[in-house]
Amino acid sequence: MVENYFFSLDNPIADIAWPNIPNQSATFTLGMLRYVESSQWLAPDVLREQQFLQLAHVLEQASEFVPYYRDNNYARFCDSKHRSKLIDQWLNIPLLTRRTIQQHTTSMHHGALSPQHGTPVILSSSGSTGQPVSVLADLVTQFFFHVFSLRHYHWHRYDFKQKIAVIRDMAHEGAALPYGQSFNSWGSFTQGMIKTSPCHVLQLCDVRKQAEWLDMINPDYFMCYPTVLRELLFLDTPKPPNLKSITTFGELVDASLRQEVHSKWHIPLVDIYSSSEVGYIALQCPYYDHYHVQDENVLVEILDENNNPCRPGEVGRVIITALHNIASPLIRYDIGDYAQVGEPCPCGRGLSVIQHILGRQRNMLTLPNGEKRWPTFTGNTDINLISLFKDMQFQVIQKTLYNIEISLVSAYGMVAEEKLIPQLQNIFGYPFNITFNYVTSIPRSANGKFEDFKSLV
Amino acid sequence: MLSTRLFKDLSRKTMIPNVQWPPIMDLDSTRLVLILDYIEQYGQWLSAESLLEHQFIQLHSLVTHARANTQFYRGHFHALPGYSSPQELRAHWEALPIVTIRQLIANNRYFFSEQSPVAHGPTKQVLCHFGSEQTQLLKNNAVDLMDDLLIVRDCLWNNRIFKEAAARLFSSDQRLYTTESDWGHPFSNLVETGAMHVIHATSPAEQATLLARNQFGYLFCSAESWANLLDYYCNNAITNWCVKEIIIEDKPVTQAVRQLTEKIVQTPISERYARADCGIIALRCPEFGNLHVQAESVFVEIVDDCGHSCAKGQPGQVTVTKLHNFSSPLIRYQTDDYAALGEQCLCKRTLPVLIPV
Repeated sequence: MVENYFFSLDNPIADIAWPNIPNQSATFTLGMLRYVESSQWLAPDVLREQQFLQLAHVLEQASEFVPYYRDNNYARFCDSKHRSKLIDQWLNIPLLTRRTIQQHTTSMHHGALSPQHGTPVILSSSGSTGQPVSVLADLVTQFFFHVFSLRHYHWHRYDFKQKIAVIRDMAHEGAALPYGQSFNSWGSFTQGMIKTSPCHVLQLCDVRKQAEWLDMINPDYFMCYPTVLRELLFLDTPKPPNLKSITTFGELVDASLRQEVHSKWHIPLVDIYSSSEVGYIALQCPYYDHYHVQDENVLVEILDENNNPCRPGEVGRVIITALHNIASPLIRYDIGDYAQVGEPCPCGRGLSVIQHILGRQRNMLTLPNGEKRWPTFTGNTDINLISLFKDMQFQVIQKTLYNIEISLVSAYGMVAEEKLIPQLQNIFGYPFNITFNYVTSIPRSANGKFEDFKSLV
Repeated sequence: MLSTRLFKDLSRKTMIPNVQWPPIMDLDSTRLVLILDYIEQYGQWLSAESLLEHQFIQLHSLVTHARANTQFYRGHFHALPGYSSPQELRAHWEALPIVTIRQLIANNRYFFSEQSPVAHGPTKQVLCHFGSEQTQLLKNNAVDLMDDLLIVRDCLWNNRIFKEAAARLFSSDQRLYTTESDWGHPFSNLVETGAMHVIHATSPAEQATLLARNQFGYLFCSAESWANLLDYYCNNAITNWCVKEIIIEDKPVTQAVRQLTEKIVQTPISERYARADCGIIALRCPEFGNLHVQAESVFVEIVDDCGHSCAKGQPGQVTVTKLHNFSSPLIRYQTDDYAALGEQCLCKRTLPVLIPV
C-alpha cells in the first residue's frame, strides 16, 4: 500500500503529526504512484486508449513546435478533432533511429515549452558504442522518473529503513575504495519525501575489492550490473548475512544468472529495464521473472523485420515513444534493443509484458547465410555460453562472418579448447573458426558496462 | 476500498498542459485524495486504543502550539503544568478547562495564533453566528483540507454518483437561481460531476417552485430549510421531484422529520453533523446509519455540567477539539449541542458513535 509511506514521510507539514500531510514533492510523487498503482489493473485495451490520448498531445506539440517533426510534416498524423483515430494510423509514423537523433540534436528540441514543464536538463544515453544520444528532459519527465523509481521498490517491497549498497560506474571519484561513498537517502526519488537509511555506493573496481567492500557494508539490498554480480558469484563470494534481494540494471540478465543467485545466495534477483534517454521502460513483475512495460510512461512496440507488431513469443526490435517528454519528443524511437513479447501476466496487471530482453543488434551473431542468432540467450541453460564458461570471465567477439575470438581471463587457467570448440559450434549453429585469447583482464566499455558477446560484422 | 472508486473516477483535470494521462492534479486535490485514501484504509480501522494514541499525538502538538502562540490559552492554561509527551497530556486531559461559546465571543481575537505554521497556508477569517451574536475564527489550508476530504468521504460512503446533477438550497431574503457547471469545491478539480443548481429563495413555496424547474439527483440543504420545505410539501402538491437523496449539511434531523420525509417524498435522507466553528464533526455510517465522529479531524468528548466525561449512553454537551486548526485553536470547546456516545458500530470502524439528543 502506498499509504505505508505515510509512516516514514520526510519533512511533512509542520505540527501535523496525524494524519500526516506530505510536503509538496511527496504529495505529487506519492499521489502519482497511488494513481498508477490503481490504473495498472485496467484492461490492456483501456490502457492503450489512455496512452493514445496522451500520445496525441505529444504528436501535436512535436509537429507544431519541434523543428525536426515540423520539417518532416508530422502534422499529417495529427487530427485534433479525431484524436481517437491516431491509434489506427500509428504504424504509418516513421521510425526514429539513434543516428537521426544524433544528427538533429538541437532541431529535436521544443521551441516554446510551457513554463509548467520547467527548465529542461540534458540526458545522455550511456553510449557503450561511444555514440551517446542526448535529449532534453523537462520537469514532467523527471517527475515520472521519480515515480517509477519508487514503483520498483514498492512492487518488490523494499523497506526504506534498511541499508542499500550499489556498485556501479560513477562519474566522480568520491565513491572509490576503500569505503566508497555514503548518501543519506536512497536517491533523488526519496530525498525530502521519504525517510530512508543511507545508501552506500562503490565505484566499479577489482572484483575481490568489491567482495570485501560488500562484506564490510553488509547491506540488506544490493544493486549492480548483472556482470558485476556474476563476477562476485564466480569468486564464490559469500552472501552478506543481511542481504535480502538484489536489483540489477544496465545490462542483460539471463536465466542462468537468476538460477545462480538463487542456488548460491537463496535470494531473489529483480531486474530493471531502463535507458537514460527515456527513463523506465519495464520493471520486473513482483511475482514473475518477466517484465511489465511501464505503459504509463512509454509506449513500447516490438516490431518484426517488416515493422509489424510481434505476437507473444516472437522477438523483435524495441520501439519506444516517451509519453511525457514534450521538451525532446521521441516518437517511435528505435532504441536498438531486441526483446521477446510476453503473454498477458497472470498477476492481473493490464500492463504489457516483455518476456525477455535480448540485447542490442551488436549482441547478435551473424551466420554466413545471413541468419541472426542470440548466442548468450537460449532457453536451455545447459548449452549456452554462460553455462559453458560459468567459472571464468569471458568475452566472445565475432570478428568476421567465419571467425570468432574468445577472450578468457588467464587467472582462471587454460581451458580444454579441443573439447569446447564442438560445443561452441553447436551453440553458434555453424562450424566457425574459433580461437582463444588469454588475457589478464577484459575491460568494460566507457560507460562501465560489459557485453559477453559482440559482433563486429 | 471506497477510495479506489475515487481513483477510477478521477477527472482529467490535469494542471500541466499536454499531460492528460496519467493526470497530474493540483497539489490540494492530490493531497486530499492521498489522505482520504489513508484514512479510509487505515485511520478508521485502527483499534480504539490506537486511535486515541494517534489523536493525542496530534493533540499534544496542538496544545503546545496554542499555549505558545495564543493569548487566550496562555491565560486559560496558565495554572497547568507543561505536558512533555502525548501520554502525559492524555493522563491529565480532563484538567484542561473547558472553553465556552461565551468565552469565544468575549475573547474573539485572543484565539488567533500570533504565529501559524507557514506550511499550513494563508489564514482566512470565518464568521460564526450564535443566535444574534457572531464572532470570527481563523482557518487555513490544512483545516480546509481535512474538511474537504470529509465532504468527499461522505459522498463515497453514500456511494453518490458524481455525474448526477444536484441542487443546493438556501433560505434567503432574495430569489436567485443559478446553475454551475459542477458541484464546486472540493469536487471541481477532483472528479467529473454533474451540474449544481444553486437556489436562493425567500419562502418554502418559492423554493418548491424553483426546485420544480429542473430534475436533480441530490438535494443539499440545511436541516431547518428542509424542515420548512417538508412542512410545505405536506400541504401542497410536489411536482417534478426525482431526488435520490436529501443531504442535510449541518445537523442531524429528528426521527420525526426522517419519517415524514419517507412518507411525503419517499426519499432517503442523510446528514452531516457540521458547524461553522468546528467544521465537520460526524458523518452517517454507510452500513448502519450511526453517526461516526470524524476522529481523524476532531476529538469529541461528551461532557456533563461539571466538565467530566460522560459514560457511554449518558447525554452531555458535545465538546470538540479541532485537531488541525493552529490558526484559531479550539481546545475542549463546548458547542451547546447535546448528544451521547454510543457503542461501537457493527461496521467495525472504530470511529466513535454519536447519538444526538
